[in-house]
Amino acid sequence: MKIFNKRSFKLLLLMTIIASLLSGCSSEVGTSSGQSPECVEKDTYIVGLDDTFAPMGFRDDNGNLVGFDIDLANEVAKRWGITFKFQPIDWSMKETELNTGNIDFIWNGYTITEERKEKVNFSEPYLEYSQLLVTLANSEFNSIEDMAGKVVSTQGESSAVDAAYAQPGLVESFKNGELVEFPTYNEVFNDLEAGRSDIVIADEVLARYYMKNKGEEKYKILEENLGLEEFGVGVRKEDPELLERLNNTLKDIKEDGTYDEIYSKWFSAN
Amino acid sequence: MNVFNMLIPMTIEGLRITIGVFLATLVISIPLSIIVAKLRMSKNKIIAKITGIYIYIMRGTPLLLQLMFIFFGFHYIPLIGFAFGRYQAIIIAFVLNYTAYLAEIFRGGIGSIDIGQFEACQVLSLSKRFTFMKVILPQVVKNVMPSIGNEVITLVKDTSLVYILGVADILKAAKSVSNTYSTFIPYIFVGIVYLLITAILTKLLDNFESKFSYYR
Amino acid sequence: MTLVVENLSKSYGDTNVFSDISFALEKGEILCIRGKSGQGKTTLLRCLNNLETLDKGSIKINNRYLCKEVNGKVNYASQQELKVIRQDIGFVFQSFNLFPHMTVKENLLLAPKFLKKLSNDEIEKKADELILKLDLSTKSDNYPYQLSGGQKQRVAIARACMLSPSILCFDEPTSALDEETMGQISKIIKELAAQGIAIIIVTHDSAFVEEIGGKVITLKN
Repeated sequence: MKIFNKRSFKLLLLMTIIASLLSGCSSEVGTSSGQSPECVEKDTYIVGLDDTFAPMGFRDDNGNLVGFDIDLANEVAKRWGITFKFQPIDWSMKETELNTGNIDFIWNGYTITEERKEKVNFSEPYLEYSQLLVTLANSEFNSIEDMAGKVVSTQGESSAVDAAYAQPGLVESFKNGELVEFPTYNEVFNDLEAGRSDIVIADEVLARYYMKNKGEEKYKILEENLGLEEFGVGVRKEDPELLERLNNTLKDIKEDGTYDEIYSKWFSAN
Repeated sequence: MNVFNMLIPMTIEGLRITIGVFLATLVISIPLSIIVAKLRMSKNKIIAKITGIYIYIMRGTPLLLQLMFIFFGFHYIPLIGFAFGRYQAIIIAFVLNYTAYLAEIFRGGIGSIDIGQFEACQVLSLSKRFTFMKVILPQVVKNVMPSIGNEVITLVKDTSLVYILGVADILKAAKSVSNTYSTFIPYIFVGIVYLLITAILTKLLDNFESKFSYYR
Repeated sequence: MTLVVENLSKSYGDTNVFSDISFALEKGEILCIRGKSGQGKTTLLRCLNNLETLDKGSIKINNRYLCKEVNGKVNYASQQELKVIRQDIGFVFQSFNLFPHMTVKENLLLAPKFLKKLSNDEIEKKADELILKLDLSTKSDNYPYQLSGGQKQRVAIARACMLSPSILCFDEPTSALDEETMGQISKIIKELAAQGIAIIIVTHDSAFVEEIGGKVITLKN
């Protein structure tokens, strides 16, 4: 009997093609650091990020990961004498990714909230910003009160959602008593432009980035905002030593001026 | 345009995932689903029942949930000392899901074959295995090709679900570029890529189907 | 004796299909089993070919038991033995059950090439002879859907003959045929009998029974 007939050869060829297609994607296996907190100093840590979150972590024209958070994380890694691995994740899965040990840090414009503190440990805050209220330039809305009965939208699973719900009765006052949530700010701003949303709640950092891209003159930022917020790095609760080490390094980076260098690279001085 | 300088290389990267997941799922699922269909039709009630439950679970829950469960879920089951990598989890979830759907199609296909074909083989002293491979399966394949074709096309689009595990297929590539440039163009571009893939597959499936049109 | 059947009985639940049927056939003998539809003729034929099991009785083909009644219980031969015994008895189905995805010749070659009792050359030669003898030469590369009822039946006969059975069973051979082809089929059956094959025909067609001659059993409830 012929072992290699034409058909089995074709099948083999197909298998090879698939293997080579998928091998291009490095198949890392989930780290099990979740179960072994005593093993603090590893060769590498995996930074989980949503790679569509400009300017904190996103892809540049060449598809490379860039952003404020990437630079900051790389600086930390440099000082630890290692390199971090950046793993894109789906943002809705971030805490699950962390707590199942598939990533070691959530580090991508991760806003510190009380609710999230129950699930992860936060580093000391490394960036502050406001939740802005944005409308089209020609709109007549000017204050938080004007949001009553309007279509208000933002990015789902984001700190803007938390900020909106933190104001008693605010979301209930919106049209249909709901806050419209989109997967990304890109869709949020598209919806505003299309005239379906009246007002957008957005992280200051992001809002300014998107407005710059889409043409600042088209938008109006209300004077009132939904308060100050802070970004921190999420670390597994089982890794207190890692958190302490990270906090110390972040403190060093701030004190010796490296932080300001990175900041001025990504944000305007005012 | 500037956008395409970023979009095209990222789409090509994404295509590796989209096509890789697509081919791996098909190549593994199709033979597996024929075996599962036979198990589902087994005279052994326990085997048939277990296979039925498997198919029920796979068809009764979203593929997205299955992806999440296979990648994250094992962590929450005590005493399971392993976890799948992202790509392993994706292939396992897709294969399990598509095998279930394809198995039901093959079961229908096998069931639609005239009992007389089996009996003709029986009186000719053909073995069950030979009967299945040479007489039944070729006729089943002809009968189920339209339904299988449907699943194949659906699979192309289902590959976009890998985003939940942070893996970048062509849709995710479009999303990344769209965010960087704040433009909708990448989505239109990737929509066209999907249509092109589907056009090629439709042509291939038609060719394959016409290979079986020599008899009725 | 080529075929000896003793005291065959079968029922589905309370419904008696047939009971206590016995007969024997010599080489080249023709037996017609007559009866109205629904009187178990086809079931009887299917039992002879082990497509269905019996409740009672023994079947002996060329001195080998297909099944044997011992103390009121029917013991069937082992799978291995069945495979051998079965090759001695062929079956031409009422609806022929040709393989639709194979040509006439491929239909003929499939089983002998699987069973490998002859060399490939011998099998091919035998198929060509049967195709010629059954007047199928112009159709040997056609698919079943391209054939008339009579042609399909001749292919079914040729396919059964490829295994050189000593008994050939026909289930309602005239049901799908017009008068002219009916004459053809009785001629073919007589020729087969003349070559020493024992023939069993199940039919409700009295005219055909008369034309074909041979022994007759009439099933009655």
